[in-house]
Amino acid sequence: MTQRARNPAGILALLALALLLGACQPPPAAPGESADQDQPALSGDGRLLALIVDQSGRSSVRLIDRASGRALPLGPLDRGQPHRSPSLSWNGRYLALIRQRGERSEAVLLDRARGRLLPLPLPADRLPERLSLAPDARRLAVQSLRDGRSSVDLLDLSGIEPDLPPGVPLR
Amino acid sequence: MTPQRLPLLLLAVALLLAGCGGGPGLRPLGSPLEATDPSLGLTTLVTIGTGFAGHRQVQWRPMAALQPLLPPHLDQPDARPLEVSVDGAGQRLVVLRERKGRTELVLHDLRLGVSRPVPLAADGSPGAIGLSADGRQLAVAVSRDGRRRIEVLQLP
Repeated sequence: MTQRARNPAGILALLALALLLGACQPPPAAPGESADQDQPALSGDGRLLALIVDQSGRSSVRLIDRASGRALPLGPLDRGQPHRSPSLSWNGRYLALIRQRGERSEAVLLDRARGRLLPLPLPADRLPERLSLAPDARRLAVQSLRDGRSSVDLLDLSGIEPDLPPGVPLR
Repeated sequence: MTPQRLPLLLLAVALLLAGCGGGPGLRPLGSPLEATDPSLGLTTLVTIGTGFAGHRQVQWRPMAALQPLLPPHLDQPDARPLEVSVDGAGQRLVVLRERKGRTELVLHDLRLGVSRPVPLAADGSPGAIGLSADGRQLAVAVSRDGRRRIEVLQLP
């Protein structure tokens, strides 16, 4: 071992230099941390947050458990980007959004309790632009474009199971 | 096939055809509305529509009638609503609006008849919004330092 390595002042100086250099480095970015975020939607009590993350021009939906910060799996929604206009039911059982399928945009409804993606077919001449799901998931409002004009349709979704009552966690 | 089995076969075909759609049936409730930016509560629909002389205004509709109502204090001549989000009860709504060249957030409580600005945690420009159905939290896309992030604000 050399004389310099035994010198406590030298070791402290090296340690300080290492810390200084380390502080100049940006912290490692978590996946998606640097991406722009947009189009937020909250569940009824704000426990869940759905948002669109734009990373390298690819807009994808994320569902975040706000207490843990954890991104929840969305299974069938791994495909069909870009995603737009997410909307959550009260307990987050249902997530409605617009996705791309080939040349067309389509509205879909993810049932997280059953892991199923349900198509929400609109008339062929309407392009969905924006969605809003009622808290109990019994109705859906769709802003769509037809012949260059936007309009809003209110649709009855009573064919599906309603979301659980407020406060009942999804299993 | 015996004639006795024909009804069973027809029933099976009907069930098969019914299951081919794969999704819930969507029944329109009323005619399309000339509006944009819908936000649904349990029994209300809030949109942005066009009023007199092309002025954009927030329109509040009870779902039973779907006739637009204009709650007092909501419409300001010098403000242009850009987006609206309503709570589950249809009584609290947050409007993102443009006024004097800036975007700002305003919370309206229809039950109490009061409006108040919603300040951001730090300087920034608010964008897309989402109000929780209990009306207590607001998620907002905030542009700041060239980046857009989602922030969740606790409302009074």
